Amino acid sequence: MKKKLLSILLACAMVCTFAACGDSEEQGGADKEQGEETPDEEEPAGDETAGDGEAINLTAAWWGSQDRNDRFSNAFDAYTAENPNVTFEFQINTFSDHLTALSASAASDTMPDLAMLQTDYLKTYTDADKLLDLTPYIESGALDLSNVSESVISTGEVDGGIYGISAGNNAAALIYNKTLLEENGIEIKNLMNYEEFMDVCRQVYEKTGVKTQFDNMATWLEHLARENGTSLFDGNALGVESADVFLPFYEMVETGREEGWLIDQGIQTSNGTATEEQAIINYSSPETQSWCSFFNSNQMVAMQNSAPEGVELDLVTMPCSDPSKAYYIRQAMCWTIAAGSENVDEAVAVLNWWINSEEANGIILGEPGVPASTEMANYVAEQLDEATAKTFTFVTDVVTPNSAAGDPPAENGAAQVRDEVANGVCERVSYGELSAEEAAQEFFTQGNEIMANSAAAE
Amino acid sequence: MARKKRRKVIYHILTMLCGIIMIYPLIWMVCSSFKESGTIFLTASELIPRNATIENFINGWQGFSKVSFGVFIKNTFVVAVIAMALTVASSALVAYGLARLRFKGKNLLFALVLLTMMLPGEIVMIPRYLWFNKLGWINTYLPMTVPCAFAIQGFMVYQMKNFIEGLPRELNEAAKIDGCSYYSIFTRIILPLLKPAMGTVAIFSFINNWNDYMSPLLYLKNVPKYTVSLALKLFCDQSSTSDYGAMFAMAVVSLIPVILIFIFCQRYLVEGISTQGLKG
Amino acid sequence: MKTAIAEKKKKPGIGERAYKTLMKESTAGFVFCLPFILGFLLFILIPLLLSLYYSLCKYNIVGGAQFIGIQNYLDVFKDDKFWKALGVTGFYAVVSVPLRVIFALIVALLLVRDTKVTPIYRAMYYLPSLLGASVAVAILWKQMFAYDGLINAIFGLKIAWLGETDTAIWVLILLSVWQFGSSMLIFVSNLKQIPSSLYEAARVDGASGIQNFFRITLPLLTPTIFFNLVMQSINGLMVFASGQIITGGKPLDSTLFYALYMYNQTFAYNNAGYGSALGWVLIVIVALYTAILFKTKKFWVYEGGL
Repeated sequence: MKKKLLSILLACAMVCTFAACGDSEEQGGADKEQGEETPDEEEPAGDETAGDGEAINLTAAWWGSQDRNDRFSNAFDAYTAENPNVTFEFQINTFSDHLTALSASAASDTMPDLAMLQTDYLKTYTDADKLLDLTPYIESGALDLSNVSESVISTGEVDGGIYGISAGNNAAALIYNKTLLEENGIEIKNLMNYEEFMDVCRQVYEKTGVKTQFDNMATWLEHLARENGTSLFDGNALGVESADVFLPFYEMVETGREEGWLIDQGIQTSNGTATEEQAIINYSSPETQSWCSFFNSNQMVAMQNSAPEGVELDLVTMPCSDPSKAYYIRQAMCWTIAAGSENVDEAVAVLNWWINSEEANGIILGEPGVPASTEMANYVAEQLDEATAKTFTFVTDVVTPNSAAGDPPAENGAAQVRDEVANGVCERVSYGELSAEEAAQEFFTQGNEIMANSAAAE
Repeated sequence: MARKKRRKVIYHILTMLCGIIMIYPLIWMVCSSFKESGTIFLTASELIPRNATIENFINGWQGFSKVSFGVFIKNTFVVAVIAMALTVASSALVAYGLARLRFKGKNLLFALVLLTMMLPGEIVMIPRYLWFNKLGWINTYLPMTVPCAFAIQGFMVYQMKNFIEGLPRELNEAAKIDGCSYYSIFTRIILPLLKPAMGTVAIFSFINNWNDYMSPLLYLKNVPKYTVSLALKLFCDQSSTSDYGAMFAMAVVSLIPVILIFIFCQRYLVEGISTQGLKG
Repeated sequence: MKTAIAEKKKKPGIGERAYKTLMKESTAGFVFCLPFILGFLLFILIPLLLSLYYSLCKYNIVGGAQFIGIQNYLDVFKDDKFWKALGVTGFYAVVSVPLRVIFALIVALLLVRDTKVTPIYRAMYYLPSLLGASVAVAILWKQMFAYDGLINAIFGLKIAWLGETDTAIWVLILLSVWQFGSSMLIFVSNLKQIPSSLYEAARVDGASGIQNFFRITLPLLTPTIFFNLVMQSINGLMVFASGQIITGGKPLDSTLFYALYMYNQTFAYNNAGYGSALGWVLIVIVALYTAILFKTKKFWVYEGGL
């Protein structure tokens, strides 16, 4: 009998207390988590015990390489060293995963206090009231933007509020293999137009067999739209009236394909999109090599670091007919603060320190681009390695005098148009599936469709 | 006799050769992890590293923002073991109920078990996330462990159910005549015999959780809590420089537990797999 | 034990009645299945219903959901990419699943005999499957088939495997076929259970090895083959990780798997409502597909099999 009862009890216990079992796991799990954090944080018990608003724990989220991860976390740790009551937790992911994790956080209102975001996504978050309007803090002086130029501030502006502060200023660039061009006596300059650029492509191809690879498709189209006097996006549609605006770019790609200097699209696609996989530095023959690459200026540093020995990279402006209209200083990344943050004041203080302190910028050293504050940009400029220094000069001396203000953040859907449509359509031209005219029309139609569809979401 | 021997030799050579082709990519990965990070793809066709180095292991082990890779391995291990134990226990209970007991709604329940096998995981991802958020489980390991206590992985239940159905029914009847309740039949007769199937399910569950990527990505919000698969991906960010050497090195390290488990539990894997076809 | 029951019978009470109910087969069955019932309600049914609701909404995850009726479903059928993704995924499943099952069966036949080294062989063939869809494997695969990668280097080819629409999908199919291990183990365990008396009887009748295979082994294995086909095709239709990490759907969407498209819509483009609708369409497709497979079952599956 005893045995029988025992077995009943056992079985019942197993079945009926499963909910409780889950709970006990929960506690076990929670204990463990805390145990795990302990060795990694300066003041592990702080956030639990003090509770008087003294000890503050902030979460910061960003994406990037190991290099960036180290610099950023060191910078945050330096802040903790100065303000021992403030500790940080980091949420680091790769770029696309960062977006996935961040939108999930927004849905559950567990947004990290500080998050890095691309300006294209600002609108999605501000529409849902997930980001803090920084205007009052700027006005009160808690966030000192006196050394940040108007045009930089304006790219973080949505519906009259300021939601994002540049984590680093960049500009779209033509990054090229300087060694290769010099060896072959081919000249290249800033502010080229399409014809001049294609001449370089032809010369390189004739002399060396090395090809040309296009990238950053959305930026080419954006430049064309801006030269046309509009922005790429306007509300819930594309900003341009006619598909013809985009034609010059697609014609250039088509010409490259017909004349043979365009890199084989199969090779480009199989290389992938990571910086160090690009044909400018990752090649085995002229067939698979590109003499140039179109990325943001700050990414040249990563490329230079992965370049074969003896290859020096440099950068000039992307070809366009009217740079002073087309070009703008780009906030590839901006820092935002969560509207739901419990420690808004401290988060703002950290951001202020990040932007204006020599200490923070001395650690970050322009990794994500030229610091937003001109004073910090000057401070950092003296301490840079060669490659980073080139990108700084490019942004401050070449682009800044030849550019207009950036466009305000676009509506929902812009990210999809830039990523899926711009790349997809150009890919089809390179594979020879679409003619230039068809491509321009396709981008125009699909782009407008997606923008219109996203509009209904609000 | 000689012919038989020759056939045997041919068999072994052939099986071995194909086996090596099968695991060649893995051998390549192991060898690559000892190459200097920059030379991995330049010397892709060479197996033996020119200058063998353990630098990749040192770099990789450092992890991210001062969190060592060992922490990620420990996290993953804790999650995978807890999830495994819960899955095995709960699946065994449900499998027994479905395999041996008659009750109302049994067929419906079994159909639902099969249904869980057919659901694309992505579709319940967001609702489940929001639901766990309501429970306050974000940034803990609970979303990855607690559901395992509820036998919702149909495949595991199905495997065990089939196994139980393959056990001789006479044992049941004999026990019943001895006055055993359904509960004690489970604990005293079924459970001991179920060991091989439990082993199989344990291995499948452990490996699934060890490799799981989406749940950690959604639920874990700070680096010290990350799991291995999440950390591995951090080595190769698309927008900046990747460290493939460190990634391969840590991938090799993270494979060791899985391979060890397989080697020690292989017997269960073969014995414990269902002996029944799909007779739903 | 009997006395104990007798004692209880003397004074029936609430406890006694509860005990009796608990002892009944129907109750016991329910009790044993309770974890699943709870789990199904909490972690499957509720999320499913929520996602059904979202599929009727404009919902971008970040903000709130706005009810728009069946608009998402209408959009799905007008969406070229949906049809493209469906075609790609269907092709992938139709090609990779049978290949996988056939390989698994052939290797299982090789590895069923027990020699001293058989465990090592099994380990070798199973190892790739152990790695599953992990990040490391995906990157390994991508690099193997890169233009300057291992495969081209070994065979002296110059093919951009992942850059051509004809070849990219095959690289992913190969990855799937490479991981045939778990089916193989299932076959091995079943082959071991075929009574040797059957083969002996056949030998007396003078049957050859090949005849044995087609007359005894294969029919007895049909239920297992069927189970494998069902499970693998379902998994095949839901394939995601390899497409996401290795190709990202390129080139020209020739590897745009359904689940990948769904994921992109949901997270990359913040159209979670549309993503949910895609998910529900997939559920219906999988259900239909499974139902059809089951309908064909009686024509070729040997019920007395293992």
